[in-house]
This record gives sequence, structure tokens and C-alpha cells, in this order.
Amino acid sequence: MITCENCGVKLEKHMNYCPLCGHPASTIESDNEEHFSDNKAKTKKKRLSDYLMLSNLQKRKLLWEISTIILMSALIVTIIIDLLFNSQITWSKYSTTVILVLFANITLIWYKPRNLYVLSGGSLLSTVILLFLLDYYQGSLSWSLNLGIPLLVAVYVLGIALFVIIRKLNDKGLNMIAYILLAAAILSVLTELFISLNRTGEWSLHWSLIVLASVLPASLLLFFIHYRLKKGTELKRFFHI
Amino acid sequence: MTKEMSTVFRLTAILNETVSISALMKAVSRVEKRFPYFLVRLKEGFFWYYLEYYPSPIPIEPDDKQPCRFFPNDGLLIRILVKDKNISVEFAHILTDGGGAFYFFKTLLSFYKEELENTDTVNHMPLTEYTISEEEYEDSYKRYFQQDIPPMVSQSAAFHLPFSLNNRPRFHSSQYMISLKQIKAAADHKNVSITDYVVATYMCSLQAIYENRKSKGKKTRNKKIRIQVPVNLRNIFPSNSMRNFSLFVMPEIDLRLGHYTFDEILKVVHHQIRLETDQKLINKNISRNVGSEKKIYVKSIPLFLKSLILRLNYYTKGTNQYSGVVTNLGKAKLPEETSSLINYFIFTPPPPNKILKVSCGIIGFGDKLVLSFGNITKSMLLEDTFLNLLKSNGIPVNQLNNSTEENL
Repeated sequence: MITCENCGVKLEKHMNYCPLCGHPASTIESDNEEHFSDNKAKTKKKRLSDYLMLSNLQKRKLLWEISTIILMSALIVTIIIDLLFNSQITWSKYSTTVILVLFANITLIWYKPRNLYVLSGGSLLSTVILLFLLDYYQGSLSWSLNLGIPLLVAVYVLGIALFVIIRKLNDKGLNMIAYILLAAAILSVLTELFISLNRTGEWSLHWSLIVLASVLPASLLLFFIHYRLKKGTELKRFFHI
Repeated sequence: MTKEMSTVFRLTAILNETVSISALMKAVSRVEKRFPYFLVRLKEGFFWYYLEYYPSPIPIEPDDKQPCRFFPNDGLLIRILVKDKNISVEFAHILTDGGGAFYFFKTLLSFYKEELENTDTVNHMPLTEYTISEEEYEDSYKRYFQQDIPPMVSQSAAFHLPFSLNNRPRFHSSQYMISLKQIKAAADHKNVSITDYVVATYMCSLQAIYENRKSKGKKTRNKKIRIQVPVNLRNIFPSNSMRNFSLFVMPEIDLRLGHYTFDEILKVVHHQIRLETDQKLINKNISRNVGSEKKIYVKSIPLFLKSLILRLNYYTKGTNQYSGVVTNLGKAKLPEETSSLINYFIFTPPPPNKILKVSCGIIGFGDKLVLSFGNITKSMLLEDTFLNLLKSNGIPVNQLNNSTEENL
């Protein structure tokens, strides 16, 4: 009787492969415990590829290095092509800016993968610079300072606030939906505010107030169901016809 | 059910010798013929799910993955797993309960023994491979269900463990062995059963966690500790059904009334279990489970809507009402010839859901009683408190780790 080195079951002498795991059968007798434990460890080690054996930090560093090589190659290639065809930097400034912002974000993820504030702050700052530069390249600062950057900051601030609030909730349920609805309503108010300021120089609110008026009672109802009504039979009673 | 939270439970036999794969394969092909009604897969109908006969070989797999994994769609709801000296069988709960699964496992082990030695131990089993009684197919709930019984009233929400969940895959299980004789002596000393004793220890541990939390000034809304204890109805109503035929009783203590000593909890558990296993009360419980199936308006709701309602019901009427589950499969009895194969058994209950967080399964064999805790949290506080309580009551505990025993 021989034993499968991988799953440790007894095999018949005529078996060339283990019918359970498909591992080739060894000709060594099953009572050689040391041989088997040694072989098991070897098989296990072989199964883990080099990549799997790296620590999380090493894996992130490797991914950062690969990303850097790809992004920098793209940057160099686009600049060279631009220079070859136009003899000066023209369109490649757009691609270069986007690549540099991407690089900054990837570096942030590599450097501080778990710090929400550093990640989102860094991402916001780099995107603000991106919008500003894209606007600047067109010759005049027409939309970035009045519209693009305020809207972007509003989206980021509301998104981070929502994330932090939901993460801190002990009892997640309908209250999450209520918070998301509220954030969407606030965002629509801010969007209309920035658009009207940009277009007329004055602030005026119309459609976003309708959104707010419809979303607010729905959110309050969801908060009420979540916090005031106990789960279970009370809910049933609440909706009883 | 989700991929993480399956309803799959596992029975493991730790043999005295390494598993012979060819004998096991032969035994499995025989056991397939003996239990044809387990060769089914789950299909979605318009109004209900149904089980469709699917004569596919029961898969035998190396046991190197997460236990109690979800069964993929369109396949059998049973699998056999093998590693070194361990044979395990995993069942989706929709197919059968612990009692039915253990009968299947017992038969498989007997066939395996027979294949190993070419002896006929199977004739010692009450049901042989040649006699498949029609009763095995029956839904015994329906046989014993009386239509005019009033249903059980839902209970208030119970205390739940406050631990934060593990990262995925969340489920991990740990096993501990105690001497059956020692725990039997401790239970006898208090004039209670082993189940009463273990459930009381579990409740005592939950009380300790609640009180510790309270002393730190943390508020807990639900102050009742209730444990779900499944009961094998085959011991109460005569039935040979291999389908689910178990219900549960829920002993409880109300922490608003103050601290309970171990003896007080033991008294409450002992009497409540006896009271609730009263045949008349069990009838009421069955009527709750089967009653809604019989109502025409429930029948006529399309499945996708029904699934949504049932999902809500699962958390509100079901899990929310109890703080934990303790399943005792009892002392395993096997024919003498098959017994010589086995070192001990392990019963791993289905992974607990996000509300329960921890579950406990118990099975005994010879002098070895194995406790298996399924846990989806980062904390082992409940297990530690439970084992310390056992030890303080004079019952030594060994931790099982990859089939070896370690003194705790």
C-alpha cells in the first residue's frame, strides 16, 4: 500500500495517480512518515508561486514599480511623438499632466493604502491641479476655478463625510440609505448653486429645492423606521393594512 | 443564503488509520444507491424552490479548502471530503438535518469498513442497502401537523455578541475535546442531561460577556439570553424520515432580573427544555413552520417576491430571537465492527450569520465528546469563557488541531 503525498490517503499498488487529487503516486512505502511530511512541505511550497510568497508591502511595491515603468514609458513615448511631428510640445502636455496625476495617485496608494484622509486629500489635491492645468492650457481660466474645482471639492467632501458616517454606524440598515439620499440632495443643491453663480454671478435655487423637498421626507421616514421602530413585528404592524 | 453564509453542515470521522481511497470510492458508489433521494439539486420554480432528482455521482474531494462551503447551483447538495485519516460529509440543510445526515454517514462508514475487509457489517444496521422504506422519503412534519393548532407567538429580540466580523472568508472553526465520562458525571451530579449542562455553560458565558460589556458602560438594548437547541423529532414522533425532521426549543434567561448563578441557569435550562419538548407544544411549533406553506395566498406569491419576504422573516422572526445555537447530535452509536475504525467524530454546524456570529456543535463517541465552534468574528472570547467555565467546573479540555490533541 502506498500513500498519496498530497492528500495523505492510501492508494492501491496499481494506481499511478491519486484518484482524489490527481497527484502522481510515489513508490515509497507509507510507513515512512518523515519522507511524507518532508514531501508535503515541498509540494505546498511549490504550489505557492514567488508572487504569493511576498509580503503585502512587497506586493504593493512591485505593483508600484510596474505601474511607474508603464506610465513613464507612456509619458516619454507621447512627448517624443509630439516633438517628432510638431517640433514642440503641443498635445502631449495633456497626456503628460494626466499621467503625472495618475502617478501621484498610484504612489499615494502604495505609500498610505489604509489612511483614508491622506488618500482622499492627496487624490483631491491632484485632481484639483489636473482641472486647473487643463483649463490653463486652453489659454484662460474659464471654468475650473468657478465651476470644476468647487464641484469636485463638494463631491469629495460629501463622499468622505458619507464614508466616515457609514463606517461609524453601529447598526447599519435603512439609515445608510437615508444618509446616501441626504448626501445626494445636498450635492444637487450645491451643483445648482455653483452653476448659477458661474452663469449669472448670483445664486438662485430652483430644481434642487424640489429634489431636497422630495428626498428629505423619504430620508426622515427611513431614519424613523430604523431608529424608532424596533425590528420585526413592529415593522409588520407599521405596514399592516 | 449567500456564498459566505451557507446552510451547509459537516460531519467528520477521524479514523484510526489513513483512509483507503479505493475502498471509500466503492463505499460511496454503494451509498448512492442506498440513499437515492439525496441525489437531488435545487431548482427555482415560479412559486417555490423544488428538489429535482439528479443522478450524478457524489463528489469526493480532497479536504483542503474552507469547511461548509456553499454548494454551486445546479449540482448535488452533498459532498464527501477526505484528508489523511479524516472522512467528512457535507450536507446542505435543505436536504436533511443532523439526524438524517448522521444515518447516511454511519451507513457510508459501514460500507467503507465492509469494502476494507470484505465483511458484512451492513446487516447490523436497522436499514440495509436493500430495503429503502417509503417512509424515508416522507415529510414527517406534514404527517404530524394538526391544522387547527394556534401558531407560536414571536418573541422579542435577544442579546447578541458584540464582536466585529472577520475579513472574508469569515468562517473559521475550532474544536475541543472533553471526556464524555467526566461531563456525564458533572451533569449527573446536578441531575441534568449533558445538553442541559453544555447549554447552561454557553448561556453563562454569554452572561459573562454581557456583564463585562455593561461594566464598561456600553449599552445593550436586548437583555434576554436565548439559546436555540435543535431537537430530533424522530425521538418524539415515530418516524424513519431522512428529510428534515427537527425543531428547536429556546431556553432563556432575562438579564433584567439580575445575575444568574450557574446552578440557577442550569435549573432554568433543564426545566424549559423538558417543558418545551412536550408533545403538544412541539405541535404548535410545527404548525408555525408548516402552516404558512398551506395558505393559498402564500402559495400564490411569485418566488422572487416570496424570497424577499422570507429573507426579512429570517432575520426578524428567526435569528433575532436567539443569542446562539447549540446543536448536540448526542452519542454516536455504531455497529461494533465499524466502531473499531473510528477515533472520534466532529460535527461542524452551518456557519453562523452576521447576527449570531458564533455557533456550537457537539457529538460524542466512546469517551470522546467533541465541541466544535463555528465563528465569523475576530474574537474568541466566547470560546475562551466557555472553556474556562468548563475547566473551573472540573472538566479538563483538550484543543484539537489537525487531528492532534493539545492540553489547554
